[in-house]
Amino acid sequence: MKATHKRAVVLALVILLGAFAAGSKAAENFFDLFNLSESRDGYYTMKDLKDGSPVLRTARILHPGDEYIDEANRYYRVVRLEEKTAWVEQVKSKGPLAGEIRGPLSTGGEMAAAGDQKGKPAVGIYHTHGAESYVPSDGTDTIDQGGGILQVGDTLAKALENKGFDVNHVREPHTPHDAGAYQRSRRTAEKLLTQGDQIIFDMHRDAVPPEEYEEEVEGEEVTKILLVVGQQNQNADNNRNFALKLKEIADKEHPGLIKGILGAQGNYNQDLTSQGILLEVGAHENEREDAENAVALFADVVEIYVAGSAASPGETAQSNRLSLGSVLKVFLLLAAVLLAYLLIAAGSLEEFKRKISNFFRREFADLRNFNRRDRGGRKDE
Amino acid sequence: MPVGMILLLGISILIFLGLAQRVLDRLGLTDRTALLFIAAMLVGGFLPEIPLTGTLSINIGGGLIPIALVVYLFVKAGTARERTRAAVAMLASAVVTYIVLKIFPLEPTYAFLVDPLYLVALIAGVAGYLAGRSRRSAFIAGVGAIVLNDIFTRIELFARGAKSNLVIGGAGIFDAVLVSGLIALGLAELIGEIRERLGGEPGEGYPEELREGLREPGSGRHDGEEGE
Repeated sequence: MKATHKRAVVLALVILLGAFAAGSKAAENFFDLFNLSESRDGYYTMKDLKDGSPVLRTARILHPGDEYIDEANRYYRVVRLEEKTAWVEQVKSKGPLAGEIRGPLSTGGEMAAAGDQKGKPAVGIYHTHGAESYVPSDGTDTIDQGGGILQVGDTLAKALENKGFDVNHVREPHTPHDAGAYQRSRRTAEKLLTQGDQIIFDMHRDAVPPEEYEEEVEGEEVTKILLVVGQQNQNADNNRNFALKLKEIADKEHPGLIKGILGAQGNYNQDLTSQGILLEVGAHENEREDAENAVALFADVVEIYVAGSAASPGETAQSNRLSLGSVLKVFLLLAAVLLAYLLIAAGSLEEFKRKISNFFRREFADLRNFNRRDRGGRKDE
Repeated sequence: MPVGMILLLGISILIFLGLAQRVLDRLGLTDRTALLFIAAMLVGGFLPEIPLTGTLSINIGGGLIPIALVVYLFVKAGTARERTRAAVAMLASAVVTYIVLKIFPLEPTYAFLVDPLYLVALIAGVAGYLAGRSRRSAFIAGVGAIVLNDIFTRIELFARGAKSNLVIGGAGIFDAVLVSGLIALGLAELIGEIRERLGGEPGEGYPEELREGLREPGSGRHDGEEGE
């Protein structure tokens, strides 16, 4: 294509975009066509390979290798996909399961003491898909200006503030509701971390039938909460431990509140911190008020977690430690890519060897000369 | 250690060891300029954001400095043709990225090791290299694709009558702007090396200047010095 042709194509694209921006109704329809919401995609059903019993329904796209720890702490792994059915196998856990956790946990007594504690960590709350809303309460499943999920965030923020936490709740919806949202919310997550927030929650709602999340906890109507941990980052182990600890506390304090922990593919900005998870609070057809009840109870869980951290700081330090295995993996990957690149750049193994030996001879020549000079009483100077 | 940090550290080490010489030469940067830009990005990420409009602002480390680098590279591009190619590459990757982010599922649970953060970078890198055929164009396309995408989404929101705040490059060195530019550059270097290795050196019919620039560093002029 000639340069003039290219310019013409570019010009045409710019005009096209401008036209869409101008005709708002046409633009709205066009963008609606593009915005594939979860509900339009349908949802996935996890089924046990052994007996076909249902394990989980979620609008998150599942893949072989995804992990799920259910309410009863059974550990499953997706082994096969058949359209929207994810067949899972119960496996032994690779890490500690809830019963074996030696993390920041505490008794009720410690919990009471925690109320008087000063210097609680700051908590950040944000919403990658801030347009998500609850149909029965909000009238629709998506509100561009900010959906009902923001109010659920407000409730959690208020509950935590009442317990003495410093909370930063960002009500930015990160619209449009598309795959680029995580890239935009990454900026919010990074900002929260720069401000000093040590615990970060990205609050969402799922898009499955309401029964999946309906629950009654201590006589109160709530929606269950699903904890989602991304497995594609170096903090995956730490965030998984964080989720496991929250679940164990919730299982004791408010049984039924936490639905489970989904280890899904993706990053979810969790590479930025070791105490950051994604919460799915109910689904689009649940009542928003039930979701608000759920997060009010979840605030208790966070408080006990923090009190436990203060009671056993060593354990928390361990959970915050950068996982050596993950870092090694990253370095090995980098080294492999670099080696492959150098091999390609050299063209042949001989040339590669020659270049490497040349490189070390040349780059460290000064060092050798320096040693020689040193030994020789600086003869050269 | 998040991905932006790993990439910048890796690149700094490569530059310090003199291993990134050829890439930098092709970018028209010297070691010192490159390290200066990296330092500015690291420091700039911690500086306050500059407001542009009521709902739009720009981060210094993650937005302003990468854009400045793009402008610098654009100005330093060898020929007018390369400049046109770089601009086309940037627009093409921005449009492709925008469409792909609309078509792809909402949640980043894709089948292979591609998170939106890397997906955008890969698209920009491949589109940038295909359209631009140079490392410079790839970097320009990588950074430009994300910045333009931010602008496209502003237009979209305006059309839909919605409102949202945006900080271009708001996550500093962890932002997609920089990560995308660097991955695009790395990808172009890798593809470029393979293609050039398969195709051999440019022969007759290519400008002498280009052939000179592609020769082994150290075999002709002193590497790293001619960029300034």
